[in-house]
Amino acid sequence: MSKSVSDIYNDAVKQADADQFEEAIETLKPITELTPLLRAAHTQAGRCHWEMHRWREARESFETAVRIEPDNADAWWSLGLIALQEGDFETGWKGYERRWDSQAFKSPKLLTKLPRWCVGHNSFGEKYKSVLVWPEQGIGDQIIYSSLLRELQHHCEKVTVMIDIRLVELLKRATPWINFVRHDAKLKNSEFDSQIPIASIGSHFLKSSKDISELVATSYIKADPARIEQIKNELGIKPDDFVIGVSWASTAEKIGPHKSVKLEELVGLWDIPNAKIVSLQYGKPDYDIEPFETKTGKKIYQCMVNNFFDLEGVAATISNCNAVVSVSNANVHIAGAMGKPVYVLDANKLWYWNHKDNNTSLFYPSVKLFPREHMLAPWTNQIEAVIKELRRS
Amino acid sequence: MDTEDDVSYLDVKPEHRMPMPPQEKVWAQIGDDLNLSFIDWQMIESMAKQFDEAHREGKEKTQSQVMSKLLVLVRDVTIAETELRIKGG
Repeated sequence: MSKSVSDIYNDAVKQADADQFEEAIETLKPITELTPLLRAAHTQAGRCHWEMHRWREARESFETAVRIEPDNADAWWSLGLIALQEGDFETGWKGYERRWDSQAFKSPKLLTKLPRWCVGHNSFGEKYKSVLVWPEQGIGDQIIYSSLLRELQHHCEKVTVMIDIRLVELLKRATPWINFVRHDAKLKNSEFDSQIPIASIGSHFLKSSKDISELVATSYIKADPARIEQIKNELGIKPDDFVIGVSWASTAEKIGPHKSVKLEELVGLWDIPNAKIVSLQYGKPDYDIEPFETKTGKKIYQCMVNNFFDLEGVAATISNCNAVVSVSNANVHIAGAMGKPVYVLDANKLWYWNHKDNNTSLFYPSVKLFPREHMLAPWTNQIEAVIKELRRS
Repeated sequence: MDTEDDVSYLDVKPEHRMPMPPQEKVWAQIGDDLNLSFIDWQMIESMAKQFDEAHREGKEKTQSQVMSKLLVLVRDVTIAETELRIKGG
C-alpha cells in the first residue's frame, strides 16, 4: 500500500534528524514533485472563489499559489486584478503588469525598440515628448483605457494612439487633437521617443478610486451625424418612441457565457410605455431573435448594421436610443463613452466595474451597474431593478 | 528603406484574434476585379424580412429594405432557374 503524504514527510524528518540528508531528499521527492500541481490547485481554487465573488478567499488562494511558485505570472496577475477590484491600486497595477508573462493572455505585443513611457524623464533627464500608445485586449478594454488619453496628453506633447481599426474614426471625431491610427499600422520609430500599452496608462495616473472620477474623460466617442440621421430614418423613430438598445450576450472567450442573459429574460422591457426595442447584439443575433419573436409576439428592430464590424453603425444606432440595456460587453463601453444612459446587467467579473458611487460607474458617469450576486445566481432581481429604473426615467 | 529596427508594429500571431472589417460598405463589397468580394446575407435577409413586415402592416419601406428584398428575390429566382437548368440537362 502506498504511504500517505504525512507518512512520507515524517519518514524524511526522521532521516534528516539522523543526518541522512541525501536519503531525506530522495524520500521527499514524491511530495516536491507535487509542487506544480499544488500551485495549480490553489490557482483553480482562487478562480472558483472569484466566480462566487468571495474576494478574500480568492486572494488567499492566489497568495498561497505564489508562495509555492513565486514566479507564477498567472497568480500574480490574478492578485493584481483582485487588488485593483478592491482599490489597492499600488499592488494592483504591479500585478496587472504581469499579464504580459502569462500564457493565458492572448494579446499581441508591440515589436519595438522604443523605451517604455513613464511620467517624468527618460534616462538622459529629458521629458518624453512623443509617445506611441498601442492597443491590447478587446474593444471594451481599449475604450475604457482610452478615457485616460486626454490626461496622458497633459504629460506628453504628442500622443499617437494605435487602436482597433473599428474605433479610429469614432475616437478621432471626439478628440481630433490626438492622432489615432489603425492597429495594423507600421510606424517609424523616429517619430516617437517612447511607447506604452493602453491598459498600462492607468498605472501612472490612477492611484485611488478618487482619481478615476477626477481624471477620466467623458464623451470621448462621437458618432457620425449623417449616419445617425440615416439610422433614425431606417428605424422609423417617432418623437414619442422610447428607444431602448439591447444586447444580451458577450462573445468574450471563456467568460462570455457567464456574462450573458437569455433574451427571453428581458421580455419585461416591452411593457415600458412607448418602448421601441432595437438590437445592438453582435455575433449571431438572429439565432435568438427569431425564436423569441415567434414565441412572444414581441418585435425587435434591427437596422442595416453589422454590429460586430461596423462600430460606426453601432454608435449611430446608440445615438438614436434613449437608453441602452446590456450585459457587460463592448456596447456598454461604446454607449458609456458617448455619455448615453446605460443599464448594465453586470456579471461582476471585471475590476473596473467595482469602482462606483452607489450604482453609478466612476469610469462612465452615465452607466448604472446592476451586479449579479455570483456566477450561479439568477438575473431576476437585476432585470426587475433595471425595468423599475427605466419606468421612472 | 526602413529595417525592422526602425519601425514599431503589433506582433500578431495566428492565435491572436484581431478582426478586420471590410473597408468599404460593411454589408456588401465589390472587389478590385469588379466582382462581389463580400456580402452579408444574414443582414440582407433580416432587412428583407422587415420589408415583408412593413408590407403586411401597410407601412412605408426604407430604401435599404427595398434593396434587400430585391436582392433576396433575385437570388432565390436565380437559384430556382439554375436548378431547373441542371435538372433539364
